[in-house]
Amino acid sequence: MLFPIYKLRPFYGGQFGVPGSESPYGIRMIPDATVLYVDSGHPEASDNNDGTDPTAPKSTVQSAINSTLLEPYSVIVVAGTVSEDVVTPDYATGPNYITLLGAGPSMYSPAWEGDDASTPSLDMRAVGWRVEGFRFYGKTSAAAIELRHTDSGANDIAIRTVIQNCLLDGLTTGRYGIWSHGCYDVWIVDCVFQLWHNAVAGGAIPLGVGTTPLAIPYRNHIVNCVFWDSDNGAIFPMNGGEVRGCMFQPTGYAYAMTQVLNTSIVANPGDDNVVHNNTFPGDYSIAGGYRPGAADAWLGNWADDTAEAEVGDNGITIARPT
Amino acid sequence: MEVDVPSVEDAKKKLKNAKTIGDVKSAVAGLSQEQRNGLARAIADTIDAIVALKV
Repeated sequence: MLFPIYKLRPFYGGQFGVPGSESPYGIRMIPDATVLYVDSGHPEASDNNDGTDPTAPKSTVQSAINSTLLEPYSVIVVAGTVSEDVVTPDYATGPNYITLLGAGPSMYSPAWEGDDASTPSLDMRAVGWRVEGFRFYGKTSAAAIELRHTDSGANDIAIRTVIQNCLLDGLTTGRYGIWSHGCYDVWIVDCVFQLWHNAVAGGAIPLGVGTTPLAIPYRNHIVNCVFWDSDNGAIFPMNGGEVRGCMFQPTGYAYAMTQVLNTSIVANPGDDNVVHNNTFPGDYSIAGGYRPGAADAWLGNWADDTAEAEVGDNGITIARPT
Repeated sequence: MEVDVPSVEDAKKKLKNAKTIGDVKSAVAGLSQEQRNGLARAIADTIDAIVALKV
């Protein structure tokens, strides 16, 4: 008797180190979302697997992304080491709203090394993807994560992207960490940017903005991030965005920043941003690497440069730097 | 020979009629970066309507 090939959707219990997996329904984000597993180091890993079984995972993230099982709200759980450059589909091809979830033993793992030095490790082109828990390695002539906004294909729009709890590690030779082409409604939360060193050709920018065929980032949120021990911080001109709760370290253990936080640059002015509850050591001025937009509100930040008129005697900023 | 000088007002009208992301890109083509930046919200509203993903 022949039975149809039929496979139930995966139903796994909690997995140590996978946030949210203690749910009795597994780590899916909604009841009918597929979970796919990728583990390059698993002995049974193969891209011929469909990836729904963690004991027979796929070996590459790209294979999971290309899977016909992938649907909106799917979760791709990634373990092992990611030694590939990955491109998401554009928004029209979809699916949109996919979570790439790092499931390793440490705070930021697995490591996402990528492959080609001149190709982004993660090239994001769809709407609402979430990336969480990875350690991205810097590349010498490309970004670790590139957020497209029609600069490549016409339907490449990585709006509503969430990058959360990731380490963007420049490794002293990396060029760009997160590189945006103007996507709006992007959240960058709880990320650490470190060891971005200007010895790389062209200089290193941990968080920056490239060509913007439409407009610079709008309504972006940079929240609770750490920028330290690098030659630059965030050079991120934007409109109507916020920088909240971040820690900037202009003078680090090995490196000192030329630009600490720019929400506007001369060639591409930003405006109307709110910058609050951040820590701004050092010279709180444009010359010191803090460059605001013309109508930005830089209020309620901590700064030790009380000699500046924009910093109160109690070390709280009362105006944008000049 | 006459040269079309794109204007922000023209771009706004084109954005209202945009049906694809390509239309959005065409609508703001020729404007300066600063002019395009000034249309950031209009661009976002237009794209939101096109992608129609209410999540």
